Amino acid sequence: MADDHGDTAGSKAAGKDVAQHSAPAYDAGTAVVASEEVPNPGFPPYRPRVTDLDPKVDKQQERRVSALFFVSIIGSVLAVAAYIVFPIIPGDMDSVRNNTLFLGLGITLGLLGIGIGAVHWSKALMEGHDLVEQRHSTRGSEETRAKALEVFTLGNKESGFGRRTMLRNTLIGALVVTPLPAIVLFRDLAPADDPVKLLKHTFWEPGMRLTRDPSGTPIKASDLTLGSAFQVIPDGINDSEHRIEEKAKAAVLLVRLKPEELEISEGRENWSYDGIVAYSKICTHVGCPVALYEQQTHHLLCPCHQSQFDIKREAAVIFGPAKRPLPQLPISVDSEGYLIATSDFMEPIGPSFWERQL
Amino acid sequence: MTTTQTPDAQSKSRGQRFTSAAANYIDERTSISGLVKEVGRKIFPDHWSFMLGEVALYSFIVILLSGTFLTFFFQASMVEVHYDGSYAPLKGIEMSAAMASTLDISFDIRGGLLMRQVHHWAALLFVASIGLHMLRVYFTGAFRKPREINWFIGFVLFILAMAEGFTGYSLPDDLLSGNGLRIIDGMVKGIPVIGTWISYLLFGGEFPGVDIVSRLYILHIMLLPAIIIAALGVHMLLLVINKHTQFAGPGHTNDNVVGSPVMPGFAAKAGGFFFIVFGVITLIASTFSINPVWVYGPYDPSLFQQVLNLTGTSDSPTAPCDLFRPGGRPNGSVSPGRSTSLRRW
Amino acid sequence: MATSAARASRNSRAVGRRHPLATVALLLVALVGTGGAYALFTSSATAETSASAEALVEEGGKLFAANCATCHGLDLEGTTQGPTLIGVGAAATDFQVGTGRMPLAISGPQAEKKPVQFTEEQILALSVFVAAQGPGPAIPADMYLTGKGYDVSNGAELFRINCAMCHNVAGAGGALTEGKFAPSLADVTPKHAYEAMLTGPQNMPVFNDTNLSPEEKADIITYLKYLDETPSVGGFTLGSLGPVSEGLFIWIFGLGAIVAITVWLTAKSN
Ligand code: HEM
Ligand code: FES
Repeated sequence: MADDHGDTAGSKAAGKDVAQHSAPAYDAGTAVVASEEVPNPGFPPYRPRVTDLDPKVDKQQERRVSALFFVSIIGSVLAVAAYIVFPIIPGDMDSVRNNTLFLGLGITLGLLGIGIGAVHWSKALMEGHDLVEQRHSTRGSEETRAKALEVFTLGNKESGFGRRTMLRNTLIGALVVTPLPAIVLFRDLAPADDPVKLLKHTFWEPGMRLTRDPSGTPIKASDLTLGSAFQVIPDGINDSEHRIEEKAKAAVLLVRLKPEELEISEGRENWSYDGIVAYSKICTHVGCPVALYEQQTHHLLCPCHQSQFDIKREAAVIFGPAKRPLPQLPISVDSEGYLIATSDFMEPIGPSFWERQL
Repeated sequence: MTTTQTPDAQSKSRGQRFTSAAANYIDERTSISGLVKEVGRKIFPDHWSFMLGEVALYSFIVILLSGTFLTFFFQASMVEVHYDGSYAPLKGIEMSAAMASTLDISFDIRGGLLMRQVHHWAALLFVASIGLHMLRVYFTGAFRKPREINWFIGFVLFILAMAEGFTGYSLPDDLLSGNGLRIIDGMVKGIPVIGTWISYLLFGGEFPGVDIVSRLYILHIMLLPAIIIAALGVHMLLLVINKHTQFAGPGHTNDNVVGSPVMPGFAAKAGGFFFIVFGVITLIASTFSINPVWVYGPYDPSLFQQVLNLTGTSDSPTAPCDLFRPGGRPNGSVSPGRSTSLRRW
Repeated sequence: MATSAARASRNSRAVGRRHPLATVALLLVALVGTGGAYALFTSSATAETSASAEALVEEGGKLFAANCATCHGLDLEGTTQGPTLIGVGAAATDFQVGTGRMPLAISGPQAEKKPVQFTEEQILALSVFVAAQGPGPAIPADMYLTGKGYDVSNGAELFRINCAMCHNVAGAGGALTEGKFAPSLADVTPKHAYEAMLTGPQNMPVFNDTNLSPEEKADIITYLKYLDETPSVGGFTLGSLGPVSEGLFIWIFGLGAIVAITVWLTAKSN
């Protein structure tokens, strides 16, 4: 076993069972495989390690490995100590930091000690010879395959699976149909409503006031200066039953430009008030909140995939994957000067869905 | 590994007698000796790139351990609560129980933040190592016959790993979780014909609803891990059946495998390597912050943050993107249709 | 108008905290901004304070002519190089000059923070001068800038709603379009943070007092201070850039370290 593997390419002698330490037998230089262009030079001679040659070094390495295991013990004990010595004092963030750090470092030491020790042991002290194992084709031997085929043939004959076609086909049919109830069972994952209807309107109603997020206080037109950007929610949404679901559709960004800067298309003349415009914050790409507003360029940027909308041109898409402009919320002011919506959005907000008419 | 009672039992030390008795006990009830004989001295080639799959396996084990710890404290519920833990800037804020319990794990349970960070860093290492492992397999051609099935199983594992990562990322119900889900919702809604309904059923009503966290939780801690473990089992089995590929080298042929045997050299290395991977993850987790959900805050569908930070990190006059722009343009003179900083890359 | 307003501020001079003239200027600016209130105090004015305030405006005027007028025009009407400054107020001036953004060194996507070019008195003089040319937002009162006694969790929420989309939830900054960016907010002084909200410098939107009240701004400043002063509990933050930097870290350093270990592991020992 101490012998190195000077065996040559294609040597069969190692046999299937490498559990023996015996070095593979070899016929030096004879077994050159003809198909190989460059003859396989065979294994290089085993280069002994220092630990193989010098018993002193061997002992030294042994001590080193056990030192590493000892370090591991210390680390684990330190981790337990750190758990007690660095408790978390409620509200004190330094204490959380210390607890995390020292507990973690202790455990790290405990783990790395074992890990590095074991690997070092394996590399420096365990038998270092390369061994060889023969590969076998994954395909079963002809004999085995014939046996397996026989099993199937017998099975088919005894059951009549191939012969009794009606039996077989109805069984297949039954198996195909059994999952059907499972599909029905999933219907009640969601309530009875029609999702398409829900997607087509939001919390906004004619006359509803625009309010600040999160306080819900109403906004006067005079509160907006040029360059202002207000994050807006509809009045009363904070008390609604489905606050978050409604907010996910109704969130609006309110900005003020000089009235002459706005390019207003036909039919939208009454949708803004004195340069104040309100747009859905829900990106028409896949629905992230669009709120990075550049007050000088009047560009609105979506943080998710960098779609850009131009507020001057009714939130037209000027860059990125979004395909439609952000829907505009028609607004006006009420008798007290507060901004109100004059209707819901005129189209579904947010990303496209199958039933959405363009 | 002695499998039969040796006649000269008396001549052995107590320890040896115990080991052989135990081995005998087990073998007489399991015939495990056959397995040990078969695989005990299997040869594993020594090349660093063959260890990448192991990194994935070990980080998965670390994930299982740390994840189990987290389940003891995490509440997979979207019931609205007012946070009353010890992180001052969120006191009194409305959030889901999931988010609140994540904060409690982070700030009020000793070692909780460490375990969250171990879990999350291990999750990243898991996916990254699978990626590198796949590259190795691809570029060495190790996916070819007879190993195609194992390549496919590996690919499935990769997808499952990402699914695990995504479901886990969604659990704390913080701002990133919610916006990740919103993107998924938008993608699902884009599926022709059935998209709207799938989204509706998935979220138990309109997005975001109150069900998604508990539904993803079951996938995250039960269904997906179970499938991963089963797939890993088949993956390893096929590996043993097909044996390792190896790089060309002196003495290496198409018909042999050259390397060290499982017992003891490789087992010691691989076992030690598990502790090393675990140790490295713990070291990273105790020194580097990951997913600080408390700064993100609870999910609110009207909020998000800029995730691209190519220019804004510093106050340096030459931000990275400037390097790619020949001449600066004066303020405000932006023409519509121009790209964002992203495209400048 | 500036003169009479300055007279009004006699009593406050003794409590000035930063610069002896700071309070004078503050009140002066505040009164110019709100207009008219000076009438209450005119009777108690003294020659001494009005003289120093006048001197301040005069000094500001000189500094302006020498450093700013090329772009903004001698009469502050603006030129093709720079916008008009009439009505921008002392807060905008103090922010732009006090953070070194102005005077602009090179024209680029946006003016960037750089070493401040003027002394505190000079900045004050410039601010007072600009404010005197047309009413605008005033330099904020100290009471809002302490970062203490305000509601940190409200501040954090308002920050997430109004600021985080550009500045990043941890205030680490983020990219905008065309090479513009929202800068990092680490170590920005409370005064400059307040002024930035109030005036909306460059492409940042304006958060006037009807959008975020002074108390709400103070809440936000309290939160920023909390961020500055609180250690990162999890360890190094990798720039607080979120999943992008976390992923990059694991691929380069995490996996890098592991691969180095695998190489050691499989190398033959000697
Ligand atoms: C390949 C498998 C897995 C991956 C990639 C993965 C990934 C993740 C990620 C990225 C998170 C977010 C963590 C955070 O920052 O808070 C998470 C959370 C969580 N994971 Fe896993 N995970 C895996 C398996 C498991 C398993 C098997 C369990 C349980 C036995 C588990 C339990 C949990 C729990 C309870 C949480 C929520 C706790 C919290 O957010 O603090 N995970 N997971
Ligand atoms: S969600 Fe806005 S660009 Fe993708």
